[in-house]
Formats: sequence, structure tokens, C-alpha cells
Amino acid sequence: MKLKNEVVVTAPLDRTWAALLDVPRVARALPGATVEPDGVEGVYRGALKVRLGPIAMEYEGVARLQDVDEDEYVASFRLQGREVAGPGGASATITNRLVPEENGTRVVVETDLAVTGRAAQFGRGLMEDVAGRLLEQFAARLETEVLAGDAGAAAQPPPAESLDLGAVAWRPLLRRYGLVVAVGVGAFLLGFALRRRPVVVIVERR
Amino acid sequence: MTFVGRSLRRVEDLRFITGRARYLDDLDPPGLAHAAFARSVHAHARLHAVDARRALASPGVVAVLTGEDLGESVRSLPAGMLEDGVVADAGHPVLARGAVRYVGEPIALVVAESRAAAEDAAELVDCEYEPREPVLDPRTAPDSLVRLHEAGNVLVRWSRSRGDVEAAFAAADRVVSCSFSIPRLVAAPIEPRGALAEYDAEADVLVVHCSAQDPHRPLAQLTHALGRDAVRTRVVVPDVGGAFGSKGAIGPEVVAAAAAAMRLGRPVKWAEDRLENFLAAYQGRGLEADAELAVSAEGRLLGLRARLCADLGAYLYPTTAVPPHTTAMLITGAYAVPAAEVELVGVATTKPPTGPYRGAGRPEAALIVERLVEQAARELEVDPFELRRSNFVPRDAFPYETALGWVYDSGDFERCLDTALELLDVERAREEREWARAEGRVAGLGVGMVIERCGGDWESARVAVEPDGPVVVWTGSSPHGQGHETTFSQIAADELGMEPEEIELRWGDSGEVPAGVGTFASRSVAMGGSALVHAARSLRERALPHAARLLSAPEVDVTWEGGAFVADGRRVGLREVAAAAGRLEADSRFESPLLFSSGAYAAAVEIERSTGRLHVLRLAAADDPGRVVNPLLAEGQVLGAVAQGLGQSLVEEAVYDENGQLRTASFADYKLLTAAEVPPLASTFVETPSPHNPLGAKGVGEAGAIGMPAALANAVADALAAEGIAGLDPPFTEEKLWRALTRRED
Amino acid sequence: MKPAPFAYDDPRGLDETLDLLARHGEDAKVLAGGQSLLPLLNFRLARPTRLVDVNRVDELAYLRRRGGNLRIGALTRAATLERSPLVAAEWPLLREAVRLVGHPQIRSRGTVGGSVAHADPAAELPAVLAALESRFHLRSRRGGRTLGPEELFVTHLTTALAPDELLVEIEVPPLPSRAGTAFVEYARVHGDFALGGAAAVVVLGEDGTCERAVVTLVAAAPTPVRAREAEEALAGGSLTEEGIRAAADLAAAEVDVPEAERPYRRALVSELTRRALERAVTRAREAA
Repeated sequence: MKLKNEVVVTAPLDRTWAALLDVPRVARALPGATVEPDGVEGVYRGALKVRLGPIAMEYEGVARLQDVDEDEYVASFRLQGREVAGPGGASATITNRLVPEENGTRVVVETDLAVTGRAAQFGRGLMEDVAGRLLEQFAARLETEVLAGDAGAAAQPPPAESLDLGAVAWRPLLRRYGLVVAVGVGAFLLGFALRRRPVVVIVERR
Repeated sequence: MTFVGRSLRRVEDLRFITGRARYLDDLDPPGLAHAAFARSVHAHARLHAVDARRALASPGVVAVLTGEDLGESVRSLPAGMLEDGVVADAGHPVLARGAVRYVGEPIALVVAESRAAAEDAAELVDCEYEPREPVLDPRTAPDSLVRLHEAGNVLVRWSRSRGDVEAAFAAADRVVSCSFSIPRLVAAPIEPRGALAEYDAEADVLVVHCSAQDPHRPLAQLTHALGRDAVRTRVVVPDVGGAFGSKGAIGPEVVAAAAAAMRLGRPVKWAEDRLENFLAAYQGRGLEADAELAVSAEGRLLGLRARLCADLGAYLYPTTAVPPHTTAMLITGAYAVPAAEVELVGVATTKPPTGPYRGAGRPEAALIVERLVEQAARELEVDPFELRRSNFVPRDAFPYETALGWVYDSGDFERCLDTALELLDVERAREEREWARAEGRVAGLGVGMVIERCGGDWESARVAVEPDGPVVVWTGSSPHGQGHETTFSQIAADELGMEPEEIELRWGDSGEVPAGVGTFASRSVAMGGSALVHAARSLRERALPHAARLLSAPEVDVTWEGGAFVADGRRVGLREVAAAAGRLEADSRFESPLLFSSGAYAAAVEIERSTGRLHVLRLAAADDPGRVVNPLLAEGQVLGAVAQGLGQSLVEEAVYDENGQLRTASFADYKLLTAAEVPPLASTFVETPSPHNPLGAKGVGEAGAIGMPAALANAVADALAAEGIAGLDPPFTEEKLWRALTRRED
Repeated sequence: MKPAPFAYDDPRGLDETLDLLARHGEDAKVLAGGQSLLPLLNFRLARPTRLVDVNRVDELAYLRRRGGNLRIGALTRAATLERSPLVAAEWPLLREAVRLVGHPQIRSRGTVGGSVAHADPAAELPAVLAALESRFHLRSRRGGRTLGPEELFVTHLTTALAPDELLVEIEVPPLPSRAGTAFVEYARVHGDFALGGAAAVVVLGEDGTCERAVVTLVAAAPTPVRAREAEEALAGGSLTEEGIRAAADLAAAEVDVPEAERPYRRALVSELTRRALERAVTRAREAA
């Protein structure tokens, strides 16, 4: 499944680029997602538990910075996760491209997502219904969450074991978009947040 | 009083509808262990390692078997052959080794104390995959650099050209061409597959109960894969909840369960669940085709060319190549086309294998030739029925050898068409269509001719008459919904002078019926029934000398009349002969060339512009299955096949995404029509007996699935043509029709 | 397709149920009719570690009118709603919709509360209950609260129910006189999930114009969305064919599905809304 989205953030190119590569910072925008550095430069281990009503998918995996083109301001991440309980998994390649704009920076995000296992086979079109739109909203959050505050240590997000649609803070977002995609796209776009508990990379169906 | 030809009600139904049938999953021997499979989640991947440690530690687990564990002790299932064709050696491995080639391919067998425990453990089998690119489009697969098998991606090659095809096309005033994309279908029997394997190590006897279409083919496939002697292997078929062709060949899971039973010394049952059935049971259809019809200005069909590209899936079952081959051979349909050329390429894709499914190649052929003929009529601006009539194989031309070499035994295509049109009330239907169009509505009429290749090969039967008690008939044929107990008892009753209630039919146990061919290709009555007739007549011959003695008459003066031996006004029946001479028994092996049923289906439709919904307004069928043994049951077959024919035309389609994941993996997404969607069908039979068997019977089980889709496709094409839109591929979903009518690009 | 292992509780009373949810809420799922939950369990898409089976909490099964309002206990079976003379007489919209819920077998087990709590966008009951501006009563050990449809339905399969909360009752206000209602849906096969649907409530003023209208959509968005723009366009109008058609198109603009599916689904919803409005108007005029 290919997803494409763009957002213009009101910050100069350099600052946006730095933020994008600061995986832990960017992941702070994603509640319930946690990652830890793997020890190898640019590699993070993570886990993500996502709920959509009664449906609960839990994945654990690895995200790594795949290639960085500092001249063209393109960074791509490769995420691979396996279901904790089931036989399936998911993988995604997320390519972020920055383009300077008049009043900020355009972030173009292209995600190539593949899901295997039960999540790939069911849902009556449920899951993909949210994927595209959520990416859009996520991109918008990118601006507010990451760049509105100053670079570096902002307040630690409250601990959460899983991303649950019931969470009040997410309600307005989730009213319009699905949990799964939101979390998934978030994780994909941002990499992983620094967290004491592993966060699951959401592997979205398709 | 004769029973053949009468509409006796089914005798087997009482046990089915009162819950007393015994299906595979009802079998529960002591010590039973349950099987579940760890299956591939990737459409294509190298399989580097399978680690069963976590699974083995799961509660209730007895054993885990992988492809490595089976090693060389087990062979892949056989791949089948094709006359005059090339078929790759790409049989289905029992458990994957080194590579997986479709989502759902079995990787490891988990045996546990319960199915739930087995499923829990199956999730814990850790597979190390190296994903590779899926191969999904049969048109491009042959040239893909991603090779699924050593031989490449082309698994079947076959072609035939007869008559001067080039000249025909050169001489043509018009060449009509159509392309087709016929999707895969899921057979969806109400009872999924399954097997129960029990092994007696001391006697070295393996008994496998198998939900199957007959015991013979499973026996052959099992013994091949396990390297066992058929003498020490027995297959028993219990009551079966439908198959529609999908239980003809056993799946690798059956072999794995048998291997497990042999190793563990416990009975092992695999009762497939619905999800497995969707993912891994072999599917039907799946064909890309380009075809051209050469026509003269006067409406003479001069020649036909077709290139068929079959989406065969990851491996070949013994019957995988049969449906596309049948499509190729039947490409000229009901028409006397003197020149034809067909090229068939069967391609490997990263999807489950395909195989016979109700119609098995004939629906595809009917769709192709009937759409071409309809298109020709449209382009030549002639009446589509007249065009057909003037090109039919004439009723006095039988037996008729088609250009490609099959011999139609009997038929009267014109009568079928005329009858179907009459049943449809075509004059009225045409009027209604014109009124609808005048009001701006979208309406169409269409016809589809059926040629159903059936029967052939041979079948076995054995009959025994005792002085009292049931008259036992053993048949190599095997029912899974067809009503054998009813029809065969009618046939036996007539041949032996009994009442149908006296007949007891036995089938399905290779120990009791060691030789037979089985149930598929609409062959039960024609082949199984005829074998029964021969066995009965053979038994009468044996009884004759004894009867003559009882009648105190010379043998030459004894005749068989009204169900008894008669001489000089005296009568003696078979029971009395058995009382005097002892048990009477005879068997037979009945051989026959292929038989060809035919028919005509007609439909009138209207498409709602605002929603794209297709309304089937009128449906008519005139089927010629040769002599009809039981009209009630035959009609039931037609109706059932029509329901499936409608399903494949309106809603059914197995959809794979770009990663080779099945998107229609449950009935929430793979739609089946309910009785509410099947409109009334006006149906009748035209009987042109076959010269090839004593019953004069052919087959009727699949005709509806062959004729209905062709008739509907033509009706839809007719409706859309009036709007200036070209024909579409099935299924004709509301969204597809709406987009066509509103001219949206997909 | 066996579920993953789970613990099982079988409470008899509401208090016991709420205790269980308070203790286990995060990992527990409430099991009522099971017609939506069990398939998810069987597919292992849902893996609650605990099932709290409320089928024997009889105090939640009731259907009564009090103070003019219909009070539906959450455990009321869809079939009960379908067969109720009270519902047929006073809230015909509910009956019209519930008859389209799956098949009779499903309706004999599935509950009204379960359908609401499951919040499948293609479900009929949430949409008609929203169209009737119902109130949803929730209870937990922490107390009770009442939500309207737009507060309750959050997105696909998701409501505002907290893990320790149970939906106990749905309260439906009476329809005014001079009101007509209709429910129309389209499913590809009988009893199947709807591809689209619309519930319409039209209230006529004394002069026969539209006093107010409520339109909710089925399978059009992640929740049973209210087509407010369509409602506004109808209010005060004379409910002509063109007016209804225009409102139907406004309703269709609310359709929020993936881009590829949007054109068809919008056309479908527009047509279904049009039919629902036409029928509701006819019935309102007959009632007046």
C-alpha cells in the first residue's frame, strides 16, 4: 500500500531537517509508541500496541535510518515488525523529502507499507479506510508537536502502555481518523520516540 | 412399473436434515489428536529456517512436523499430465522446504490434544522468511525474472490448430475480437476439507477418512506421496457436505496428517476451518484470454483463434491443467466452425493452485465463444439467434467431430435454443426491453449455449442379490450431494425387478469398492449408473440358467419381462433364483468415450442507473442431458448450478492485492448469493439420448454454471451496447456497472 | 479459527459485572450476543484475556416506555425489538431498520446494546438510534454518565466507553406528531453488511413545510454521521422533489471513504438518502 502526503511546516529547512533526523524527538508526537536505540547507529528497537475497538494488534520490531541524502534533504526509514502473538508482520519504507517553501518547509512523505497475517486479510476495507487520511493529519501534527516547541527536551509525554482510541487527547483526531492508521503512520513517519517501554511499530493492514 | 424417468424424492435427505449424517468432523476415535498448520504469511519467500521450539513448549502439543522432518520419506503430490501437452513437474510439496509460494501454504503441522491448542501452538512456529517479489499477473509472469520453479513460470503448454485457420481469417469479411479476464473463484462448500488418519503399526495398515469426492483419487495420491502400497492403505469417504470439484484432489495437509499419524501412533484429524479453505483450497477459473472469430458477410463462422493464459497458482495438482485444456477444446462451442487454433499457456503465480470447480473450463469456453458470436451479430447487424441457428452443428450431423477433435455424441442445439427462448417468452422480453430503453432505462437480453463435456473413462459397479434383505449395489461413484442413493436405486430397481426401497447403495470405501474412477465431470449417472446397468444385466445372465430350471423351460425360451424371468406364462424373480441357487453377484467395468450434454440459457436484465444494481428479470434454461433418470433431482442440479453461475456473474471473485494477500478471505468479503437473490428460473429438459451407454444419459450437474454466466454476460453486453459501452468482465458488480454507465475511469 | 485462550466470567447482576470491569477492564471484553465479537475472536483479530459474559444479567434486558421515552435495556435482543408492538407503533424507524440487521438467526442473539457498543459504521441500529437523537446511559463503579450519539461514537468500532464502563440503557425520545421516518439501505446480498444507507426523520410544520429533518448515514463514514448540511437545507423548505434531491446530494458529500471508492459510494448514498427522504415525507404527510 502506497501512501503519500505533504505538509508545510512553518520552520526553515535546516531546523526541519534536524528535527526529522532526531528520531526520539519526532516520535514524541506518537503517544503509546516507544523506541530505544539498538546500540547500532541509526537503529531503534520498538514495539507498538494498538487498539481499534476490540481489535488489538501488537507488533515489535526494528526501525533503521536507511539512507540520508544531505544534499537533497531526503531521508528514508525502513521499519520491520512482527506480530507479538500471531504469525504476521509488517514492513514499511518511509521516505521523507524536504523542499524549501516561501514561508517554511514542505515535507513530502511517501510510505510503502506491506502487512501480512490476519490484519492483511480482514477488515472489510476497514483499515485502509483510515490510512490515507490519517497520514494527512499526522503530517499536520508534525508541525505542532515537533516544531512548535523548542528543539531538544520538552516535557516527557505521559507514560502509556498502548495507544488507545479511548484516550481523551486523541478523541478529536480519532473522531475523523482511525487509530490504527494514525499510530501507524505516526510511527512510520517519525521513527520512534525515546521511551522506557518498547513501542510497537504499527503495522497496518496492507 | 419403471422408476427411471420418475421424479422420486430423495431418500438420503432424512438423515441429513435430522442431523444424523456423519461428516469428517463427527468422527472421534479414542486417542484422537488434532492438527493445525503453521502457514506462510508471504506470497513468495525463501524459507530459511523453521523453529518449532516455542510451539513444542505450548500446552497440549504432541508434536510438530516440518518439511525438514518429513525429509525424503514423503514425495510431493503428483502433478498430472496432459495429452499432447507439456506439464512441468511442479507438484505440491507436502510441507514447504526452502521456499513458500502462496499465502497459506502449509509450513508445519502441529498436533495437539485439541484444535484450539494446536492453533495456539501454530502461531508460535517461528519461520525465518526472506520475502521475495510476488508473481501475480499471468500475462506477465512468463517473462518475469522472478522464477517460481526451476522450469520457470510456465507450467503448462498446449496448442492445437486444425483446419486452415490462416485461410479462414484471410477470407473473412469481418474479424471480431474480444479479450477476457475471468477471475478466480472460491468453491466454498459448506463443509471445508478434512481427513482423519489412523495407522495400525503392527499390521502396517493406514486408514484415512477423507472428505472427498471419491476414495480412489485420494488413495492414489496418498500412496504416491507416502510411497505406500495401495493394498495396505484404505480411504473411506464419510458423508460429505459438498465439494463442487474442490475435493477431487487431496491437499498436502492430508498427506501430512497421515505421516503424523504414522509417526505418533495416534489418530490425527485435520478438520479444515473456513479461513484455511479460503487461503489454501484450490480455486476455480482464473483465465486471461484473447480470442478472434472470423466471419463472412453472410454470417458464416469461418474460423476461431484463441490465446489462453491460465492463472494456475503456485503448484500443479493432478487436475490443475484440466479446466484450461477443456476450455481450449470446447472453444468452438455449439457451432460448426471448420477451422480453429488455440494456444494455451498455464502460468505459475504466487497464489494457491487452481483446479476444477463446477463447470471446470466449460464456463470459460462458453463465455468466450458466446460473447464472440454475440459481438459478431452486433457488428454484422443481424439477429443473434439467427446467426447462431445458421451456424449450429445441425441436428442430423451427430456424431459430430469438432475442428479440434472432440466428438459430440448427440444433441439438438436448435431445439434447445428455441425452447429456451420460448420459456423466456423472448417476444415479450424484447418488447419490455424496448419499452425500458424508450424510458431511458438500461436493459438487455442475452443467450448462452452450453456444451458440457462429461462422462468418459470408466466406472465400476457390483451388485448382489440374496433371497431376502437389501439388494446391495457397490459403486465406484461417490455422492457428495448429488443424490446417488435415490437415482441409483431407481436404476437398480428397474434392472433387477425390485422396489427402490430394497436397494442399498454402498460407496466411498476403497476397502469395499477397490476399483473406480469417482465423481466429477458430471459423470455419476452416465458412468456410474451405466456400470450399474451392466452389472445388473450381467447378474441376470448368471441367474438365467437357474431361472430356466425353476421355470422348467429351456433357456432360449426364457425372457426378462416386467422385472422377472418369464417363460410360458410363468414368472420367477431374482429373489427366488437366489433362494434356489444361492447368492447372486456380478460386477462390471463400464467404459465410455466422452459424452456431451448441451443446452441454451437465456436472460433478460435491467441495470439501475443510480446504484448500478443488476436486476435479473427473466431466466430460462433448456438443458439436454440425454435421458433424464430423475427429473426432480436433475432440476435441482440445474437450479444449484444456476445459483453458482449467477454468483460468479454478480458477486464472486477471489481478489489478491499487490502483495499477493487474499483480500476476500471470509464471507464478509467474498460474497455468496442467498436464495433471495436467485430469481425464478423457467427450466425444462430436451432429451437427445447418448448412444454411448444403455441409459442414454449424459450429465447435468454443471450446465447452469456454464450457460448462466454466458447468457448474463451477453445480456449485460447487450444492455451496455445500447449505451455505447463495450462489454465488461465478470463479476458485474454494482460499482463496476455504475462506473461504466457514468463513464468513470477506474 | 479458534479464539486465543481467555478467562471467562459469568456474572448474574449489574453490580457484579461492574466490579469485574473495574478490576479487569483493560483486558476484558463484554460478551453479549456475540454476533460481532465472536468472529473477531475466531479470526484472532481480538484477543481479550477475559470475556465478561453478560447474557445472564437479566436486569439489563427490558423494553419499556416511561415518561414518553422508549427505554431499551442494553441486553434487549434485536429480535425483541423487531417483534415489539410498542416499537412498531411508536418508533417504526427502529423496526424498519432492525429487520435489515443480518438474518433472523443473528437477530435472535444480537443485542441492541452490543450493536451500539460495537460501533460498526455499517450497522443499522447506531444510525437509527442517532437519527432519533437517543441518549446512551453508561455505568461504571465510578458512577454513571449519559452521552449523545456524537459523543458516544468516536470512529470505526470505537465508542467513548471507558474500559470499566458498561452501556446499560438506550433512551429514545418520542417522535413528534406529524413526523415521518424511513430507513433505506443497500447491501449486495441479503443480510450482508450495508454498502450504504440512510435514516431519515422528517417533521412537518402546520403548513406542511419541513419543520425539521434529521438524516444519518450508514456505512458512509467511520461513525453514523449526521448529514447536518442536508438537514439545514430541508428545514423550512417545501420538500419538493428537487429540494429532496439537493439535500440528498449534500448528504452524499459527507461520505468519507477511501478516495478510490468515493464516487460510487457517494452516488449510492445520494440515491438512498433521496429514497429515504421521499418515503419519510410521504409518511409524514399521511400522519398529518
